[in-house]
Amino acid sequence: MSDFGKPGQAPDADLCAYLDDECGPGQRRRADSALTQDPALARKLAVWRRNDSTLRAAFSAQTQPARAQNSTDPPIGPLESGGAQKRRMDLAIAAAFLAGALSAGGAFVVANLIAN
Amino acid sequence: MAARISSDTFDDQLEPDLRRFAQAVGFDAGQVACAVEGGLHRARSLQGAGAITREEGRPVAYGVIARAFLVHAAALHAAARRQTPASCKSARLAAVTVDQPPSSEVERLRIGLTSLPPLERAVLLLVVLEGLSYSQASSALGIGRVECAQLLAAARSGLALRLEPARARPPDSGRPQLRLVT
Repeated sequence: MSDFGKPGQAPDADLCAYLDDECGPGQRRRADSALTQDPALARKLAVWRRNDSTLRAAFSAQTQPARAQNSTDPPIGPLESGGAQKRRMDLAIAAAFLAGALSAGGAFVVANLIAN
Repeated sequence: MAARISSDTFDDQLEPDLRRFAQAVGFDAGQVACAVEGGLHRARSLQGAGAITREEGRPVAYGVIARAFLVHAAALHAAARRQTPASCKSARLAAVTVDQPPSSEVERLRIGLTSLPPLERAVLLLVVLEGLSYSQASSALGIGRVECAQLLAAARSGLALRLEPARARPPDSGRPQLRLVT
């Protein structure tokens, strides 16, 4: 493992500082040099970077659907007024009355035909 | 001098981020609401006293949630140590269930996160998910900047240990092999 950081500091902590852009120019140069010479260190950095991306994607995916749903859902229309419901009921009563009258008329015609 | 902002703007900007952080550390819905309100209240009260700027407000609010999480995790740990043999058995059963191979990378990530020590989890989420600097995360958690980097390195290594073996496996391993019967 390359020891590119300050003396006494763990190399992994230095790698973290490098990844999070929390190190100074000198430390960054040492890190760049160590990463080119040490494939294991470069692999570790790549894995950490990938896991960071997965972490951000996982939690942004968790919070975005709720926001997206709010913005794309069509607005809910106003509830039906009482007048519209009453008109619908009147139409149903009229249709039932008409059906009853027609069937009564038909029965009257049939009864007359039989009687004659 | 940094600009001060109104309470409403401060809440609107911070609340979704605080909620995400509280969910990510592992709080349930009720705990998330309490923790977020606590964080906002603390930041608002400091702001009302004129002691807080926009830059200082975020770590203060995150710090309240992170500390609440650490206290909660410590209480859970203490309760687990007091468990009777019967409840230990159920804990072992739960652990077996969690150790089943998870189906997606996000699930593995969640399990990996919960397997990290609480302080490592909090540092990782503050820096990687919430984008706090090491100085802000350190002040939120009441630790030093070097300790912050060391905890972060331990958290990243722990998470890599949990995620990488699963990535190395072929994606279909573990699934039943289906054969077309004619």
